[in-house]
Amino acid sequence: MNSLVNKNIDTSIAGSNPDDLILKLKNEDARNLRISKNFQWIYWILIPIYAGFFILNPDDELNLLSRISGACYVVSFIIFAFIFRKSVKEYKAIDYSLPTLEMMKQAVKRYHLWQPRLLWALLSVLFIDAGLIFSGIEFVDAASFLNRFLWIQATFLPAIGISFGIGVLIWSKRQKPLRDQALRIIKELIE
Amino acid sequence: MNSKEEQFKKLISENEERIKRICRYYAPDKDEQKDIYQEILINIWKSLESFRGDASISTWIYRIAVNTSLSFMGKSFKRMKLHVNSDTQNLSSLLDESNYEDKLREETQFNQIQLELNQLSVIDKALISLQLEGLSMKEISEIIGITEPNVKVKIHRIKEQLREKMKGVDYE
Repeated sequence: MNSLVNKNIDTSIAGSNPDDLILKLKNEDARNLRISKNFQWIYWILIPIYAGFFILNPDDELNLLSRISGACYVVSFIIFAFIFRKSVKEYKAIDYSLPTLEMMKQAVKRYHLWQPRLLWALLSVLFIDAGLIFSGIEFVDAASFLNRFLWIQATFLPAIGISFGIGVLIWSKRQKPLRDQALRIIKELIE
Repeated sequence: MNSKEEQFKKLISENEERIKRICRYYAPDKDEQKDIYQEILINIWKSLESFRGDASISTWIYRIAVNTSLSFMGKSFKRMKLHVNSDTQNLSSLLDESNYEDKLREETQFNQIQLELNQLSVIDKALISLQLEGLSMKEISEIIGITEPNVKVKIHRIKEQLREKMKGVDYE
């Protein structure tokens, strides 16, 4: 028979006994849970620390602007914490037992670059921006505010722009091909 | 051993061959088959708690197997080849004319069918693989998520396409 005919396939393609596999599956579950918990902890620890040091701290040397700055950071962390929590939930909710068409539609949605969460992330970044501006001002006067504002925009915004650019590059390399593939499959299924 | 493990083991032992066949359709070599098989088992494990019995267990297994295989192919899905075993049942259903049945046993025709199957699009390959598994149109529609008439039209179109191509082949 021609070599193209795939008749002599090894029937033991599992490659491991069920107990080893179950151990692997359990490890996978435990790993996902651990990563999720670690991130949750980092955010939920940072939020009270920043709130304690920069908002609630009774030290008289901590002026109102520094407290506003601290509040901006805390709000930013809270937004990021919720964004991350939502992403983890979405990731965990991927269901391979859905009909193919439905699963592909969900993949397209999941791997879309412009998502509502991006607006929340932008808002969070704006809070950090505001926090940086307020953290370096001693007195509220137009000159020092403008000076600080321009300095932060000249450094922080390019850094954010570069980070976003790197994010888009990673997306186009890893997630865009998956999205394009899912779109092709949907097109083929419904036409 | 907890109930999830027991349920998983039972499910795998009952459907092992079914899953392996799907892997064989989608992957050209043993290593890739092994990788897809492992990935399917991981997804079955992850989805086990969400199985509510709305679909039959075989439909549920096929959905996970097909979806995992399609996702697994990633960027190389264009090159995905459909590998048909010589012992695959229902192969004759693709060319379901009695005068073809005898010829199907002939090696050259078998190879030709496989070559033609490999020219199909990725979704046509997925539909044909399920048809080769002997599933009904209704079951295929439940797995893929399109309507039953749509499945019928697509499979009919594929069969017509195959018949047309097979007509022009000299088996001497």
